[in-house]
Parts: sequence; structure tokens; C-alpha cells
Amino acid sequence: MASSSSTAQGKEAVSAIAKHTDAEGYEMPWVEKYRPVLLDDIVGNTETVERLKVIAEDGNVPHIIISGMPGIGKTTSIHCLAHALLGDAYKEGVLELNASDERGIDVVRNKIKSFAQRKVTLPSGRHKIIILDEADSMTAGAQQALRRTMEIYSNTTRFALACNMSNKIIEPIQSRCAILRYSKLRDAEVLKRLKEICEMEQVKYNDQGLAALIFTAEGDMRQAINNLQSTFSGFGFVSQDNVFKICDQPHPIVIRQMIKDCQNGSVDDALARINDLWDQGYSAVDIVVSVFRVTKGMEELQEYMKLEFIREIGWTHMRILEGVGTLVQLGAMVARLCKLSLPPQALKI
Amino acid sequence: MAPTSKSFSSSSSSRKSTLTSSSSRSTSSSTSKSKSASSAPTRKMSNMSSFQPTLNFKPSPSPSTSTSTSTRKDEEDRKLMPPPPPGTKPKPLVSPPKSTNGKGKSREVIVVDDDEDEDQGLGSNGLTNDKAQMWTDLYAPTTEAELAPGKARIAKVKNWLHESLFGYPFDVPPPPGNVNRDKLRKYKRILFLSGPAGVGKTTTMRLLCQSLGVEIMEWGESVEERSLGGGIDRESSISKFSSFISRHSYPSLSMSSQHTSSQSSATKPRLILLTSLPNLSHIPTREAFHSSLLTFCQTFTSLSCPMVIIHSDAGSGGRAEESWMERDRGGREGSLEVLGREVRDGPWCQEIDFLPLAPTFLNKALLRVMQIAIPKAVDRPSQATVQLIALSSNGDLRSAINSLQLVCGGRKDASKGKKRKSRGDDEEEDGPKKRGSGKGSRGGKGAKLDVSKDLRAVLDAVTRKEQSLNLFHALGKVFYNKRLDDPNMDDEDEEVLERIRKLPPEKPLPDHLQEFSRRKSLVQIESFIPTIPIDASSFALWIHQSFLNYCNEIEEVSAGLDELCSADVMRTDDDIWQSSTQAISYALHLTVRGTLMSLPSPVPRRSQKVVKPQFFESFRLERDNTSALDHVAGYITRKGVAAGNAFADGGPSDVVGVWGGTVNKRVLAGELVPMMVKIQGLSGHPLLPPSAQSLCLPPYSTFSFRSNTELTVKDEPDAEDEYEATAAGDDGLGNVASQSQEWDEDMQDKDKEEDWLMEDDIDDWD
Repeated sequence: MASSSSTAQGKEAVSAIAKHTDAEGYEMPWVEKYRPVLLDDIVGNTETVERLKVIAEDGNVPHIIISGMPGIGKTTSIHCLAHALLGDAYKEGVLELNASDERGIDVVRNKIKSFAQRKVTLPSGRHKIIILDEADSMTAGAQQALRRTMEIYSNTTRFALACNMSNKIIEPIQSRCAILRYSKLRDAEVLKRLKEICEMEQVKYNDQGLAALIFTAEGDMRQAINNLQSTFSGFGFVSQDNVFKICDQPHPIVIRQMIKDCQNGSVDDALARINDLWDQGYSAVDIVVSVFRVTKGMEELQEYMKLEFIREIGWTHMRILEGVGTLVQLGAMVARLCKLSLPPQALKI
Repeated sequence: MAPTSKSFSSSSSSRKSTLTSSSSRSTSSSTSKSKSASSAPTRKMSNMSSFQPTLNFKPSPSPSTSTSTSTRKDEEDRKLMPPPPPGTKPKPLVSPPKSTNGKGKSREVIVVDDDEDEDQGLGSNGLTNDKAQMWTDLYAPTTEAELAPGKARIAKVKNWLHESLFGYPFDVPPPPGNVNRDKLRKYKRILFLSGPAGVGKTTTMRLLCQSLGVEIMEWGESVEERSLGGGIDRESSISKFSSFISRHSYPSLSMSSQHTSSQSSATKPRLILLTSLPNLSHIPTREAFHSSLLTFCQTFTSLSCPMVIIHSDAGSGGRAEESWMERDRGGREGSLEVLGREVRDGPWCQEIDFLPLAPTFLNKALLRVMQIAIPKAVDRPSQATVQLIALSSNGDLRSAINSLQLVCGGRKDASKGKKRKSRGDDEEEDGPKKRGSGKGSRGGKGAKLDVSKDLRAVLDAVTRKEQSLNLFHALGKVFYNKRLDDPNMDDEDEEVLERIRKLPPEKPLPDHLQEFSRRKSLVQIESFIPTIPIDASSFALWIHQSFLNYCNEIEEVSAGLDELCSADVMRTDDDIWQSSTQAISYALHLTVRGTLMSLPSPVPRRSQKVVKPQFFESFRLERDNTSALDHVAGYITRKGVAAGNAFADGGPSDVVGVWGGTVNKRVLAGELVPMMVKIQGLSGHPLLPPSAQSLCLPPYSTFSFRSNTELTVKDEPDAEDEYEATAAGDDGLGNVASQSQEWDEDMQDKDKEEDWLMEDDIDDWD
């Protein structure tokens, strides 16, 4: 009882907020506004989603686990699947529990079970669905308790689990589920969706701006859309500079220049650029992460150089994470990168 | 239509038989007391705790006159009383046995459908009901021959059950009636079944119990009892458990009148089944659990029932490395943690380990399921598909059946789509959209040609764990280190080549680094990395294992290993680092790029093999050996204490003095145990406890070339469900190695024989 009303309340709350904010002249997050409702609208992972469609038509859902990185549509897929399966009965037939909900052994024992026992009128051959989002954050004990529940109620209730790491789910549950792996979204897929949203929201943009959004999001659709919205509401125009201002990341152009300097062995120029970034207030982690991202995408870097660069950056990253996130570390990294391309006899004393 | 109705009719008869029992339970309280003889005690049991009767996939194996009459009566009752509408569920006074409740409920619903079918002559409802259930439930094995695990293992379990319940082995004629059978039963108290998930542990147990006519009493963690007052029972679950098993020796209470109590059901043997354990990572809970198990073992009366504990542990083969790192975080307990040392090393307990199922076994089981599930041979997926499923499921039958259902779901749908068309569109759901997309994705017979490709994609997406084929491709890409303008490039995809040629030229390396310049690689790292089907660390393991075969010079090997080393350091430094995805991507880049850089170009083709990492095997071995050593330590300590006590008491003179006691691990592993093994081997008299019999001396050869398992598409355990044990590995214990499994098997058989023949000896134990 409480369970369904909570989702219902959630929905109402969302719509209430939407109304409220509309009155104030604000709008709801685009991520929610443009969250797909149909399986057809889901971006990326075409083969897996295709399979979900077949399941949705067939009606006999197995228990499923969808695993993958954040922001690639796991939860959305499950919701779409539930909508496709249950139609109007969605509200009664779905129990959603998030990591933010309490999900200890007690909840598994009581809430999930009472939902599983409840009788809901559904289209024939359909099942109630229990969605456990971020299931990898459930304790092993709770998962153990879930195991039996899954088996006992499997003829009325199906479980859909979303998680980032499928190996955090205990083996017995993995065995009971079909595991669908979602891979990272391709840049083209993110781009297409961003363009659609820009179209619908009448956002002005240039191509570099969208490219910057994709660069910063790294395959995370949610982040891309959020950044798009922030950039738009902040500046009204999506250009590269605006995006990097919003995302507050070191400008990749600068970093690219810096790496090129390193490749040429010009230590002073490279150091100057790092100092600039540092003075702008970026933390060492920010800088080193961007350096890595730019480095691995740089095509003019020889294979060997790239390998050596990545290793040096990795070591530096490690040191920084261990607590020495100082300018000196970054300087040392730059110096080591430069040293690679300098002839060894030049360094002899 | 015809096959559908056939399957439907056969299943409906069994359903009716189960319905009778469930409806008798629900109606017995109101109708008559006498005929509920069989169900009344079970209800009482369920009052005390959860209770699970044997699964009724076929009529109850113990026919007694009373049940048949009650069945008939129930039939009459059912005719008089309309079956409950699907919405309502019988509300028992006491907390119902949960599992039965779920099953019983659905059964009743199904019967309602049956009636409708008879009225309307519409056979398709049987199908929808089939669809509503998971195949793993629907087509569970019904006879012993259909069980998937190896025969030897099943026989072992069966023997144990028989011994523990009746006091003599299964295949031996019962001893004369006046012999005290409890002597053996006393030492067959706990059976510990372990093994990876989905190999049929629970199924085997239930089926055997059913065939032996044993009642299963199940204690489920997930059962909460509401006290009569209405509030939730605040007793902690572990104390509930303790009191539950402390009642093991009570006979089932007979709620019926006097004359029925003498019936066979009253003396039906019982068994406690534990499938979900309390939270053992909580130390007080674990201790309480251990002590209650110990009490359970020590208190034995002739009425006591044995206990079976089923524990899914981490699988050994081919799992991701990250999962072995997780082992401390719960869910990975071994038998020692579950049972506690006293119980495990004591004489009461036997462990039987189930291994992942071999593909041939899986194949057989899948074919069986398919034959029942899909009566028409035309609708069935091809043999190759089934084999592919069997191969990709990694020895997990349950997930294999799930995959099969998923694959067949689409196919069945395709054929049904046509039927629906002819029947008209009375169903609102499958309108034109459904049929349209059905054609697109599967398209009936026309699609038969590309089915294999289709299915492969499906299976890739659906099946879990490492997908051997993809892994093989990914590793091949790295190891063959193909570069632009290699000789023999004819078979390469021209499109890929073109794209790589179009890449902007790289800046040449400075002079002193010229030796490192390479032609452009065909492996485009950014697009390659997402295609790796396993996690970064496992991939590194695979590369590490076979890297050597692809090198020409020792320098290449050295350079490559350097890179692998740094990748390893980056990955597993500490917690902050490990949790960062960035770290993993550094490591992955280093692994792949480093290997590519250090391999010769072009890589010589010497028909090298990609070999499965020995890590998993060694890791398993280490775990086994460590626990065996723990056993020995406990055993020696106990012996020492016992001998010391005897000495102090001025015991018999053949005890020469105090020996044993606490030895440190190094002495134990390096001196004591090897010596004991040696003496044991020479004298033929077992010195070590049975649980440590797997320990043996390493072979004398200085370096034994191990036969490595090659990665092929059938990269799965050998056909016999035993792993080939290897010599001592890098398990940190040096001189302790596992013996070949056959020997082990022999030993255990011998032990059993001794148990049986020298049962009086065992009496001296306590």
C-alpha cells in the first residue's frame, strides 16, 4: 500500500513541482522533461534495447539486471519496459526502490514482500515489476534475503535491477537474472539526442559547443543534457567557451597546446600554461584528468609517446590522489613529459 | 493447436492433484477434521516456523488410502464450493508457509482457467499460463535421472540422506530390525552442500527428498512472524533460528484425532533445509549460529531430524578478478565460516561440493526443457543455438534456462503471431504494431538464414559473464598486433584500413627514440576498449598468461611485463584509487598499449594458443589448501588438548605424552603436515582429518609442464565435471598441493566405508 502510494506521490510531486515552477517561470530539468517513455526512444545500445522490445511484446519478462556506467539509460530502459508491459496499470504494478530509499534486510522482508503478495489486476501474462535502482549499493545481507523472495514470487512478480557493476550483485541473484550489459553511448548517439533537444528547446548552438558538451560528458547522456541546459540558461548560446565555463573544466585547447609543447620539448611554454591553469583556480585533479582525456584522443601523438605520456600522467594522478595535489606535482609531470622528447645527451651534465 | 492442448492437458492433471492438497488445507478448518490428517501437522509446523512441503510436480509418491479418500472428498468439496476467485487468497489463521502460499495461489488461479477452457474450448489459456512462469520453475526436473549434476554426486547426497534418516546406506539391504540404527544416524547430522549458483543444489535436494518420502522443513531468513497481538515479533532472527532448530527432535504434533496418528504420515521422516543463512558477517550472529548448530549436532535422539545446509559460494572458473577482491565483503563465506570449526571438523558433518556443470550436461538438460516446453520441433531453436547457450552460461543451468526462455520467447511469439492473425484481433494489445515489428525482427521462415547471427547478438546481449568468443576476438586483436602495411593483409577489412590511412600523420619521434617508432596500429584503442567483454584486470590476466607465446626476444617480454606491472600497480593500490574508474582506464590503456608496443611487428604465426589464466585455478587451490591447513591446525590442537587431559588424568599408559598444541603456520605447512602426509602414505593409516585429505606432497620433478587449458570457443570445465587438479602452484604455501581428484574421491569412499564398518570406533569420539 505504502509502496505504490509513494511512487504515486512521487509522480504527483513531480507534476506539482512542474506546475509550481512553471508558475514561477522556471522549468523542470531537461533530463526529466526529455526522458524517453517508449523503448523506441532510447538512445544507444540498439541490440539490447531491441531485445527488450521483444520481451515487452512477449510479456514474459525474466528477472533482469541492467549494468553499465551512469547516464547511459539503464533506469530509463527499465521504466520504459515497465510502461510497455503494464500500460495503465503502471502505477499499481510497479514498486521502485532507489538507493536513497531505505533498503535494508527489513525492507526486503517487509515492503518488497508485501508488494509481491499484493494482488493487482494486470493484463494477462503480465507481472508486477519491482525496480531496484542502484542495486549494487544494497548490502550482501539484503541481497541474500532478496534471493528467496525472488524465487517464491516469480510467478507474479519480476525484478528489474539496475546497477553500475554487475559483479557487486551476489552470485545467486546473478544466476536468477538475465544480465544485460549497456555499453557507453557513442559520441554520435549523444550528439543526435542533444541536437533533438536543442531543436525542441530552440537552443542556439554551434558545433564546437556541442563537441565540447560531448567531450565533457564522456558518454554520460545525463551529464550532457544537464550541461546543455546549464549553458543555455547561463549564456543563452552553446559555444565551446561557454560550455567549459559552465562545466568549469580546464580548457582542452590550452591543455592540447601544453601537450604539444611537451612533445616538442619546450618545458618553459608548457609550464607557463600549467601555471595559468593553476592560477585560474583549477585543482590538480581537474587538470590531470583533463590532460589524460586530451592525451588519449590526440592523434598526432606517436604510439610510443602516447603510451609513455599516459603512464606518466597515471603516476601523477596517483600521487595527487594520495594527497600531494600541488603545483609542483604538475610541474614535475610536465618536466618528465618534456624529458621524453629531449635527446639524452642534452640532459647530461 | 494440437500440441498446445496436449501439453495443457498433461499439466492440468498434475495441477489438479496439487490443488487438492492446497484446497484441503484451506478448507479443512471449516469442513471436517478427520480427513485433514496429512495436512494438519504441517500446519502446526508452519506455526512454529516456516515450512515447505515437497514440491508437487507430480502426485505425492506415498499413496495411502486416507489420502485417496480425502482426495475424492476434496473433489466433491470443490464441486460444491466454487473455487476461490483469482483475486482472493485463502487467509490462514497462522502465518502461512510463504513458498507454498505463492505456489498454491497460482495453482488455484490456474484451475479457474482450466474450467473456463473446458467451457469455451479455448486452448490458448494454457499457453499464457505457461508464459507467466519462469521455465526454471515450470520445467524443473521430476525424476532423479533428469537431474543435471553428476551421477556420483547425486548418489552421494542420496546415500547421506538415507543413512541419516534410516541409519543404513541406500543400496544396502536394511539391517535386521533389532540393530540400533541410531549409531550411524548420530553422526550424519549436517550435510553441507556448496557450489556455484544454479548448478542444481536445491533442486537435487528437493527431488531426492521427494523420492525418499521425506518432509522438508525449511527455515527461511525471509520469514517474519507476526505474533498474535498483531505487532511484529521483536525476537531477533538468530534467536528464532536457535529455538527453531532446538525443536528438531520433537515429533510433529498431531492435530488430528487418535486413530489417524498411527498413519504413515505421522512417522514420515523429516529434514531441516537451510537455504538462506543468517547474516554471518555479523560476528555475534555468526557465533550464535555456530553454537546452535553445535547444539543441534550434540543433542541427538532417535526422533531428531538431520539438517541440510545449502550454500552458494563464489564460482571458481573464469570469474572477474574484482569479485575475488570482494570476498571479504560478505557473501563469499566458505564452509568454515558457515559451520564453525567445531561443527565442521566434528564427526557430524559432511560436505559435498557441487561443481559447475559441464556443457554436455547443460546441453542435455536444455534439450529436455525444450522438448517439454515447445512441443513442435519446428518451433524449436536449432541445436547450435542450444549449444551456444550451454557454452556461454558458464556451468550455470538456471541462467542457461533463462537464456533459453528468452530466446524461445521471441520465436514462439513469431509463430503465434500468425495464429493470432487468423483468430482476428480480439486482443487489444497486439495490434498492427506487434505484427509489424515481429516481422522486422524475426520474420518467420524468411529470417531463418540470419537467425544464427541474430541469435548470437541476442545471446551476447543476454548471457552473462565472459563471452568466450568476444574475448577471443579481443585478445586476438591485441596479440596479433596488426599494423598498417603488414604483409598478408588481404583478409583485412578494406574500410578499416582506409580509415586508418586517413588519420593525420603523427609527429615523428626524436632521433633517440627511433627504435620505438611503429607503423600505425590497426587497433584503434578508443573504439577497441568498449569491445572488451570482461573487466580490465581479468583482461590483463589473460594477456599476461599468453603474452610470452607471441614474443620473439626476451627484451620484448621484459618490456611488456613492465607495462603490465605498472598497470597492476595503478589498479590495485588502495581503496580510493581502486574505486576510481579513471584508474581502471589508465590501467587498461597501459595494458593494451604496452602490449602492442612491446610485441614484435608483425607477430610471427606459430599457431600460438591463447591460454586460460592459471590465476583462477591457483586462487581456488590456495583457498582450499588454506582451509585444509586450518582444519589440520584445529585437529591437532584438539588432539593435543585431549591427550593432555588424558595425561593429566593419569589416563591409559599407551598415551606416551603431551603432543601437538599450537604450532605456527609455517611449521605446520612446512614441516608437520608434509611429514604427516608422508607417514600416512607409508603406513596407510589416516593421520589427517578427512577434511584435510586433499593435502599431499608436491611431485618430485623440478619443473612440471602443466597442460594448460586452451581458450577455444568451448572454454568450459571438462566433460567430466571434475577439474583437473594441478601441481603445487604459487599459492604461497609451497609444499602443499592438491591431489588429483580421483584419489580424493577414493579416499572419501573409503572414509564412508569406515564410517559404516567401524561405527563402534566412532563412538569413542566424544
